[in-house]
Amino acid sequence: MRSQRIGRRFDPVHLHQIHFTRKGLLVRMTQAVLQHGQTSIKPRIMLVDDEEFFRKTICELLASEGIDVVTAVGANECLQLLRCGFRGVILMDVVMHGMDGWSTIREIEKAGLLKGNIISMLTALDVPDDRMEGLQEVVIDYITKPFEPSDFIASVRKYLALLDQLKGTI
Amino acid sequence: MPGCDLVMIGSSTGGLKVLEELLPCLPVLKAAVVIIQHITPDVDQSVATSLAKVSKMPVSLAQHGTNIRSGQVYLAPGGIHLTLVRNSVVHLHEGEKVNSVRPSVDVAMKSVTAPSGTRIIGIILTGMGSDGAAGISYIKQLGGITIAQDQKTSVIYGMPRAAAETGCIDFILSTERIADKITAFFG
Repeated sequence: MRSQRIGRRFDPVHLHQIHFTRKGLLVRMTQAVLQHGQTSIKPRIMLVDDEEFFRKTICELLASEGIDVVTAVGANECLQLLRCGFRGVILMDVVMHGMDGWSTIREIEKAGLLKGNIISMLTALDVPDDRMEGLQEVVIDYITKPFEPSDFIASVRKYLALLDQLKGTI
Repeated sequence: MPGCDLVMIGSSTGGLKVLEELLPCLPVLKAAVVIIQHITPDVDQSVATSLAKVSKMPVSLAQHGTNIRSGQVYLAPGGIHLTLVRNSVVHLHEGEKVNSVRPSVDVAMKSVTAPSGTRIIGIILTGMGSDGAAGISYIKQLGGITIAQDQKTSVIYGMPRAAAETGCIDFILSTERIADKITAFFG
């Protein structure tokens, strides 16, 4: 597996605290980062999903393409990462325990942390519900699970290309 | 000045992907293309740049006062409404969101007029909600050609469905067929 690297902008200690309590790929990745001190490259993808299996699957898929990723279990972690300086592509699950994806985006907006981020929804719901109303300008895409890995990677690469061109890129 | 022939495209979530498939299929048209994509000001220039990379026609972010020309693509900026004056001059203006969005497809499409001899195509692509349904009905009333993206190729079949339900849509087509139809009229 290619290495996953966490940038110093994200405060490795903080990330360590977030992820160390969880089992799975990211814990190992974060530990590896901390051990090897690879702090010069920051992930540009944040996956927000409360299902560990899905987080692991997506992380492995993106890692196999050499794409750095950081994960958040839900809204709180997502907001923490944004407050720590994450700017990039946010792949947001819609249905999550606690705060759902739409509410999480509204919280991000309320906190003034939308700027510099591109948001795409990742969901098992074929049709978005009315809670998306008003977020059309913010949510650039909507990926329905299950999806073809090649299509998913192609979409992520498009988001990254868009990110590269963002005005005032960090 | 009656303005040039027009292709007015409204799209929302998933629209970037569809537009990146649609634009490469189009030749340099004998019409101006105006795209109203629900978007934030933060990413509008990036989207215009992305589209420019795949389009045979020049793509630019619409500027207030710009005289639109055939064979060029104009993307409405985020966070502001776009209307056309006499089908030829871009007017950008603040205002309340319409259908919870700004720019609104309805606002842009309803600003179009139909001077004698001018041809207009209105198109509604993927997206959540119903923005564009009223606008596309208006374009139909003006005598324009109206198209909605089909369900299969729509990321979200909300806006195209709302447009189709108005009864004012001439064609419900896949992305590829939409390109063929535009080319047949203005290629």
